[in-house]
Amino acid sequence: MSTKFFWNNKGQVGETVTWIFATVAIVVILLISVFASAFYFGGDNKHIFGINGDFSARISFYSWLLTEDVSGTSIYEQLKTDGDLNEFNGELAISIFEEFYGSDYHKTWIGIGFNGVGLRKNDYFEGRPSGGLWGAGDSAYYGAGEVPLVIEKISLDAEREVEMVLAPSVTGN
Amino acid sequence: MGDKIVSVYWFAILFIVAGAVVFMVYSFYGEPYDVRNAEAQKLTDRTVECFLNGVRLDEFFRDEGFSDNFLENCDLNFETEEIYGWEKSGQYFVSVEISDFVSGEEIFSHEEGNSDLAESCALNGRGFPVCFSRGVYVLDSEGNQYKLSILSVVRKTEKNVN
Repeated sequence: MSTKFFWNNKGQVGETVTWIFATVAIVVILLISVFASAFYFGGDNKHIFGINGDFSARISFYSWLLTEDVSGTSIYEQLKTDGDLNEFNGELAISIFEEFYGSDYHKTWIGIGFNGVGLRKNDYFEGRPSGGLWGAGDSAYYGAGEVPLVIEKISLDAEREVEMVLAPSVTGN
Repeated sequence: MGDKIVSVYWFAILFIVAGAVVFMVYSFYGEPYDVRNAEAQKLTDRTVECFLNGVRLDEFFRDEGFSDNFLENCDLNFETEEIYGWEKSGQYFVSVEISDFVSGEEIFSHEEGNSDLAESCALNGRGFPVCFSRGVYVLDSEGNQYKLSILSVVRKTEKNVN
């Protein structure tokens, strides 16, 4: 092949060479796009656990609130009076929610909220999962997108509510 | 001469771009959606619902003949399409166990469907049946505490996994 095919004597790179490099660049960009998107969206078209709520956990939460101590006072009434978890209902909540749902979720949390503001830690479940590690607000972000937290709230009075928050597992279970 | 070679490259690029688009569409939509996890989750929810009266444990599971007509009593249907030989070997399995929450004593247990499917629950892999197990804390009408354990298994591999 003549060198004139690639190089002319006008101090310019020939059109063919320009297009060879352009083709290579386009192919490389396409390959990167295809593999990056395949990696980002993943090949597993799996249902993400917890996205439509959790019926079993909700029933457990209601049953926990209805449970009475030896004096016949329900946990709902205890929370209304005490304003926080106590040894009886805190330990019971741990034995239900951590044992039953701990392996299905990234984090489980039961506690008292104040109209969504000033949510505080308690001695049994520490901080409520929202923001930071688990995402912003009431959502979590995992690879392919945003997954809502599973939240169940029961009002205690005009300002306070008892909440169950379940942060979905990263693997989607 | 140069223009002719360039036009050949244009056609090559056209085919490469078209091929890449086809490949991308195939990789996103060509694979079947695996809905077995959602199906197993729904089966579990329906089974839990069957044992409840509101949010309390319904005592009708103690009735004689309840287990014999479990599917009918719980309004479940384990029939499948007549394809891949599914109708011969069951594609669903559900097991229910009710135990005392405090003592752990078993009060009721029942299995329905193809019990062979449960053996694959310990195995990982897309080709295996999907298992979904849940524990539910429930109270009866007198306030007694129980643990309701459900295991649901769905096979239907041929339609959900390539």
